[in-house]
Amino acid sequence: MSPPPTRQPRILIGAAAVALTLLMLPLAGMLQRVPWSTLVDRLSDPAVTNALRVSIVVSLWAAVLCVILGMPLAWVMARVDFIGKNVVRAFVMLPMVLPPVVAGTALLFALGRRGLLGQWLDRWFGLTLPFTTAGAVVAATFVALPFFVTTVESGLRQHGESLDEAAAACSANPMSTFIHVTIPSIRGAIGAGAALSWARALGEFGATVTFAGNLGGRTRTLPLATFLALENDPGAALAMSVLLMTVSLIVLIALRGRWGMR
Amino acid sequence: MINPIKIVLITAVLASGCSATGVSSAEIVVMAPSSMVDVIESIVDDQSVAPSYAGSSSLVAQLRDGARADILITASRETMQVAVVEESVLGEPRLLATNHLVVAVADGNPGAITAITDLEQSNRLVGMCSVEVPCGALAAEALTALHLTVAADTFEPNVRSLATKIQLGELDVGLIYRTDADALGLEVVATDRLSEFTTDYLIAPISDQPEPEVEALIDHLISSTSVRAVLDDLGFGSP
Repeated sequence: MSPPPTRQPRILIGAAAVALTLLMLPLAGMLQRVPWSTLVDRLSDPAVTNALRVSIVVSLWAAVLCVILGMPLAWVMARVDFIGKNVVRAFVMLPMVLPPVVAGTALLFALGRRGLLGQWLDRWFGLTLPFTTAGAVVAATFVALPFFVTTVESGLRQHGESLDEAAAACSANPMSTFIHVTIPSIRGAIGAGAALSWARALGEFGATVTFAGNLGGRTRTLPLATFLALENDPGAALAMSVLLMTVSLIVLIALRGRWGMR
Repeated sequence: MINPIKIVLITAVLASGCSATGVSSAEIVVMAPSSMVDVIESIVDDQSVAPSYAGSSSLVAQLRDGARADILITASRETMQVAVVEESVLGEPRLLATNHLVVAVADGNPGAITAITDLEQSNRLVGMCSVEVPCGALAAEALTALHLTVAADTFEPNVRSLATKIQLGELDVGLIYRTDADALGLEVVATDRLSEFTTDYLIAPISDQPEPEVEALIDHLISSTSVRAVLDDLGFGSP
């Protein structure tokens, strides 16, 4: 026998429909303007495929860096108590709310040729990050990292410490516990965090154009190419937007199916 | 029971109510390119003006998409032409000012640039405006005419972001408008080879039957000595 149906407040469902409309209406508006008949031609244009290639390279590198750098940070945020943790958490979250253009400018002040750290990188190693693909990776990593850290941190909290403690009780050393017990037990969250940060990196625009500039084949990612195409070729811009949107939607839908974001 | 469609309608009515009261109807909405910010700001105190700044092409796109404005200023003839052809602008465009390209270098001239031909050196960090925007199109035209092959390190989406990167010393050199170089106090390499590559700033009323206040404001911008002084100060050329 099935349980009695729960009564749902209809006004909430109505209000939710308004919110959903707000989220989806712009996409619908865009889709009805897309030049579908020439879509394939536009997307196979060398300018687009070049930007796609840069985007894939940059976003994958950013996702890898997010995992490598974000894993220890997420662990600290979930497991270690220290004074000023709320402030640290604010810094972790900051790139999510900061206008990306501001993030890019801040990156220039820090890592630019005359930046806080950048001037030494330039002087000691002849290394300048702005206007390079590596610079685009740094910009994308900066904005994407919070998505990985927060996802994995919440995974660690749900997983709890009991398993880690059991391993510690069996006198496994802490680092080995982290690698062999903690990480495997939250691989779902790690996968979700990596995918989310990758999707964010893929869509990154403001910090990239500010910090890394815009050069075809080097730093011109799909969002940059899209923005510039809006100036004089809206059809191409729409075609690239569809591509970006499709890829991002696939990632987000797959996330839900495979890892069951909670 | 509340119908979701009803909620959507109510929200839409509320939203349109907000936008109607957002800009007071007495204010004249002036759409101006980023390079005109200081000019428009100089008249804001005396006139009832609501400025809206963006790149010229973005402004034209905003008009296309139904943005309400009274006056459009563009940084090139081509962008104004687009707005006229699309019938976003029905009034007669007039010449407001001119601007020309300069070779601007970073503080201390780290790239040791002494002539425009130095831009061809591959070991200099060179910035240009993207060809999609007027300053980039003009720069490309100039380089072609001067038979120069420049491998730029970045094509910036607007002239101010390019000028800023030169000012910060992240780029050695770039081709920007004289006014932007002046505004940021950038060092400029003397060359007369660029002065003929100019862009025209056009101003037009949106309507073909503009309000008298709108016409008066356009006249003021074009012919008042105070505005002309600001334009001269900023490095704009006279029409």
